[in-house]
Amino acid sequence: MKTKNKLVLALALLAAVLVVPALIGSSYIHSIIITICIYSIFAISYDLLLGYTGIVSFGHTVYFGVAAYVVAFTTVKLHWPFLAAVGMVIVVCVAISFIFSLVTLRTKNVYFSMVTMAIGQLFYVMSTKLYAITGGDDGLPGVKSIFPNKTVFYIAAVLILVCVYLFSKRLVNSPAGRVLQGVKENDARIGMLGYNTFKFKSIVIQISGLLAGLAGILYVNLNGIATPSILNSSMTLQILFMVILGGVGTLHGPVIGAAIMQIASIVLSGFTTRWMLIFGIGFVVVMLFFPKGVAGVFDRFSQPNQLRKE
Amino acid sequence: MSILIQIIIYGLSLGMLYFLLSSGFSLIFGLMGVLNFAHGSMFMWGCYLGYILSLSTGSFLFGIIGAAVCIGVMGLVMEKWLIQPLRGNQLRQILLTFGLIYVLEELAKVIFGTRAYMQFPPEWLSGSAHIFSETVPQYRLFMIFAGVIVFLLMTLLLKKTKLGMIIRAGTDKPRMVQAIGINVARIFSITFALGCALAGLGGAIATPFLGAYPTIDMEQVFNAIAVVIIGGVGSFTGAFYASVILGFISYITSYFVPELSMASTLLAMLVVVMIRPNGLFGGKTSEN
Amino acid sequence: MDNITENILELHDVETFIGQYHILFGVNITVRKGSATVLLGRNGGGKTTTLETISGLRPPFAGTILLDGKDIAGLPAYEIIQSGVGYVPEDRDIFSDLTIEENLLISSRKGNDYDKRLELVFELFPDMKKYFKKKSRILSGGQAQMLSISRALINDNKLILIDEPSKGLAPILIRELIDRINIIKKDNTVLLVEQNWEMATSVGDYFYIVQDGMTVFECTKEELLADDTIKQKYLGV
Repeated sequence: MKTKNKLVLALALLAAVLVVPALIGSSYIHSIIITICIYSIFAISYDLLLGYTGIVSFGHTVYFGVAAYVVAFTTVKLHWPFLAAVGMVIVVCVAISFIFSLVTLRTKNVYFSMVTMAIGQLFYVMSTKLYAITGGDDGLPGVKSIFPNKTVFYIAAVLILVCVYLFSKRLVNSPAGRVLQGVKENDARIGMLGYNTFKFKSIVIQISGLLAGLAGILYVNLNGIATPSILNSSMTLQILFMVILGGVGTLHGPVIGAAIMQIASIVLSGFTTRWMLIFGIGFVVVMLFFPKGVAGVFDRFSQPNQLRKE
Repeated sequence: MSILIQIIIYGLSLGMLYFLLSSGFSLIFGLMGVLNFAHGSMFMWGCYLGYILSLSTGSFLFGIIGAAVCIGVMGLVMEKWLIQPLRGNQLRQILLTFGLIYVLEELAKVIFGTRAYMQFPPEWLSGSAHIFSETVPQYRLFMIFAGVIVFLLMTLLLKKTKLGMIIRAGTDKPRMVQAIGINVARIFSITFALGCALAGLGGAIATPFLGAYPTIDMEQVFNAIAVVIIGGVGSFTGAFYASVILGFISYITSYFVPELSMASTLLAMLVVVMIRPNGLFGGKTSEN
Repeated sequence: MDNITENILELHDVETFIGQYHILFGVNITVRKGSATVLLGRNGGGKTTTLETISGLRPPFAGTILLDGKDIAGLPAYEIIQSGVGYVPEDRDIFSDLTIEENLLISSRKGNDYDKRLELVFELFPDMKKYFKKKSRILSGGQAQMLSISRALINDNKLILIDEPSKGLAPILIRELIDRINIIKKDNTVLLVEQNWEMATSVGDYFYIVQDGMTVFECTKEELLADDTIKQKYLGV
């Protein structure tokens, strides 16, 4: 009974979210909500990594940014149809996740953080330097949206977000997903049970990468341009903040975090151009004083300096 | 012949710059296990402070030493209020320093604006020197000199003083250092401050060469990461050799393929991670 | 019977956690001045954790620890060590990047007569003199153990904690180590964790059995040797 009520409530909420703004909202408000949906998908994909496997990648924005660039390059410069571009995004995201899997195999914890951050930076530097492909600092403009208008885009974005959320929920509750949570708890023990932890981690890295790529495709559809700023590590900070603010390992938390961040950035940027300063301070404060909301994932990182012998 | 001398002098001076930047990063990471992503930000603030102090006092040497001291104090404060409270939780420390990059960068933009400041070398270093037939800027030679001096002083500190021995002991077995009656928290504070001071010094020395601007922090922190990974964690001499190697890689790439100069250090690092995850010069294992 | 000041160390109902795991549930130990007290018991019973708790590396969650009459529970490790405790850990933990000399130098505390204590160390372990300027990573397992003990002996300690010195050593080396510890015992108070029966019984005067995080039995050397059922019941030998 209870789950049925919950389902009805969720459906009613979804209908309200879909119908009400679609009827009365302005194009500007649609854009904001579409943006929130895009970042929510991106943040959920990151939460799959962070919250369900304990993998802390500082290069996750690579999928997002590269997907946007691939769509921009193939549709604008090569005049490919949109679906072909999406196919290319899938190929590229799988290739990138292969690189990250290799790095995961090679390094752990702190090293993984350093190496993934460096990979992220490598892509950022390339986006600014490889002028012929990326358009340099100016980016690649002129991407046409596949959606006829903002209202359709809005409805599509909300539905895609719901699908991504449900899919992720299913994934983490599936038998394979439970193994993944075991990977987070204790890599060695799961390994001894006969599961190939590397294989499971690779699968999540891949799914998470593809979802981030999906967010990137939507992003370039909304904004019509791919610029180096979407590959910048400040994007990593923002996405990290969304997940941590909303609650790591919850899947709905990142959605809340994305909404808060997006609305806050719009409000703050009205007051000052240096709103990133306020974000940064907020992030540091959360890290210092609110560990509870972000507990789970931190446990496995307990200081080797003190507990190395155990 | 002349191109060889040019590559040696320019590559070496760049390498010494990387060394000044990364030696503190490596020292802190090796001893404390703290990956200070904000190390590049310390370097950037060193650039600004070196510029301002040199300009206001008229003395270049005062500028670089003053910058080192100021950044050292900044490190001391940062360690006490931000790093120490999170001791025992490496990931939160990493994430915090990651967020700190943006705090320090935006703060710099608020104070100094987004423009780049150019500084001329002091008069006594602004000429050019002749090595064999080649003419090279004196400032390049000064950078090499400064790097070598810092390397020698730091080696002396690590090898000959009790503090240095404790730092080496702690890099090897941090827990045991407490068990011989040493106040590790104090050693951590000193080391963190020292590491930051080195970054500040590096920044101030780099300014007449690179300028001072707000994105230099991100550009440089990756060079520090590359040095630590290639040189091996906790290995001070490893950091020195890795810096020299990266200096040459970086200069040679910028000579032949300028577009790739910034990516070259990162690519070199990724190659080393794939082939030898522990770095080329030993050090701790990357499995932890 | 006992004069209270003769007890160098007293543990009363000490409880310790490692992370979220409750390891020690109630440890009660008294170490008399000039004695060698040995903690016996199966692996995983909490012997090492007991030594770590005394040294301050793992602050206790509850209970009192009196060192020479002063409560040291909860003090940071370096303060406890500085107040006169030498700690020889289970895995030796010598600083392998440092020379023998440097290992001893940084272990020497303020107000210590370093030269005099060094003489003592050299007398006891000539190998330390032989390899004085060499990096300690070249040392064999037995020599590493000697260095680890030397690090404790370089100061004039009230109490020396030694955790399984025989671990991983060949029988002949164990016998040599027994001789050395018996010499050390003459001038020092020792609390030893040991699994090796020969070492435990030739060094120890007084014994505690630690099981499941509690001290479950205590006896003198004579009692231990006289009663085989103790051995069978607690040590499974």
